[in-house]
Amino acid sequence: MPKDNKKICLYCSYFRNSPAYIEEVFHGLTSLSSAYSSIRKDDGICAKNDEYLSAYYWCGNFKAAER
Amino acid sequence: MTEERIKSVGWKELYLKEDWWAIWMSLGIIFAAYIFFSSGSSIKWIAIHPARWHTVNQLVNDFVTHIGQYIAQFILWVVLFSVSLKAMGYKLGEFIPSFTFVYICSILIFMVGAWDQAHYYNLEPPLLALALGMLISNIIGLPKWMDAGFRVEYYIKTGIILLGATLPFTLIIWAGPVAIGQASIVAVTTFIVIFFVGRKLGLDRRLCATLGAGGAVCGVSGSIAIAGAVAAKKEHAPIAITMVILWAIVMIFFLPIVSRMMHLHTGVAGAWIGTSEFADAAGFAAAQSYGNLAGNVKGIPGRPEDAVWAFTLMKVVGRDIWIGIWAFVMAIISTTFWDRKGRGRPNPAEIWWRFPKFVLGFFVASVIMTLITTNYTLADYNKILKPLLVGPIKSLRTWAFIFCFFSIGLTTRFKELASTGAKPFWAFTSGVIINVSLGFVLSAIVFAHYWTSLSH
Repeated sequence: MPKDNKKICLYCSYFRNSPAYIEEVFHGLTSLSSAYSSIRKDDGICAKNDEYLSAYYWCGNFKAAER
Repeated sequence: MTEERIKSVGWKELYLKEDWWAIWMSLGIIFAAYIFFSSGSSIKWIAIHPARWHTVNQLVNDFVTHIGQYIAQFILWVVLFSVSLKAMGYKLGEFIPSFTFVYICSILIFMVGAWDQAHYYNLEPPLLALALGMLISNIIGLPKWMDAGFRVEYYIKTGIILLGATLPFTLIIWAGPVAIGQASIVAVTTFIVIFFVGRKLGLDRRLCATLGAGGAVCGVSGSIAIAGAVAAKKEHAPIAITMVILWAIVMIFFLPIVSRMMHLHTGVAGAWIGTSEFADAAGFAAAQSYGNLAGNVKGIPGRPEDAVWAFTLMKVVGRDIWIGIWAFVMAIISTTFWDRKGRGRPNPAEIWWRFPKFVLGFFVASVIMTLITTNYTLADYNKILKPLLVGPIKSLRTWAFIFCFFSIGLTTRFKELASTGAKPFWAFTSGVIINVSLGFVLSAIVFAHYWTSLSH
């Protein structure tokens, strides 16, 4: 964790994790699964690094999202 | 415009995730069924489904006679799904018309399946629903907003929990460890094969892990969970989704056909499908269509329920419940050995948060019904409980499965799937070959005794 635990992906402006958005981006996801499942927890897409990752990861590109 | 960010879900998942809504809804149906039963009545009036028919006149007469019950059942489903989907953020203006289309088509599919010659022409409702859905979505096409009513995963979770009410808990205790043992052998082997073949072909290890989880654990859901845990590239998940969908569709047809050619016991075929099919929804379609052959096609031993029971034990108990542990272990490997930038340490609580909660509902439903039936003799069970309590729940379960199978077809749009390239294809396919072969040996030879004895 970073020293400030508010600097994780969950609070980053590059992070996109709404289920509706994930289903829109990942074509075919709804055929045999769902973004509204427990197994996905809060995972999302990082628009900066182009990664799909846990909301509790962090990196040096953190940029605070508007509350 | 779609909202892009949400805050941490945490315990709000109790009303924001479909796993929990499937639990509330299905257990609500089971409790309602029991309350009606206890007061000397039954929910069978609303759990209507087409009766077996031979002539079109019989079919039409049966439908006209019961049309009020179909309308009441439709309203029940709309209300139940609307409340939950609204809470999860769906637009009811999109869901209700879309679900109306799903329900009308499901009646037609159910009717075809109830024809006494349907088995002769291979018109099994699961396969028919899937084929019809794919035909509509890939040839005719439907507006995108209608996807609001094609909730494959939500319908299958609802169906699985209702299925729990027809599966004795004692059976889960007896066969569960065998299912876990068999599934673990196949899952670990398949994952290792896909991962190392992928690495040998030069693929990114995060893609290899995402593909491996799709083939070994629980299909698309497994891929998505592991992709998040290992911080996969954005394009990795769609590649895994494409591979899982393509092979899952192939296996829906392939596994029942081969099982039929070999005259496998329905329990053995169910276990094989549970081991070697990649997704719950696809596997249920295959298991149910093969189970339906028992008693209708000569030379297929076992009962129809054996296929679905064995499949459920293998897939849900043997494979699905381990996804949180897989994700946690892969997150540790990823953050410790693969990613030197440092992303923090995974929290063991992730195992709980990623646990597919609908499985809890499945266990609870099984325990409740087992406790209710304990005081009844087998004769009383067949005479009283089956027609008034268990039968209507089973009927509603079948409806949920048909909504699901039809929705798989409607959401499988081949031109929208990401192109994968040859290397991911061969890595995944190598795992498929091992998975199917090993699954067959374990189901039909090593543990065959268990899978043929479920009805005992």
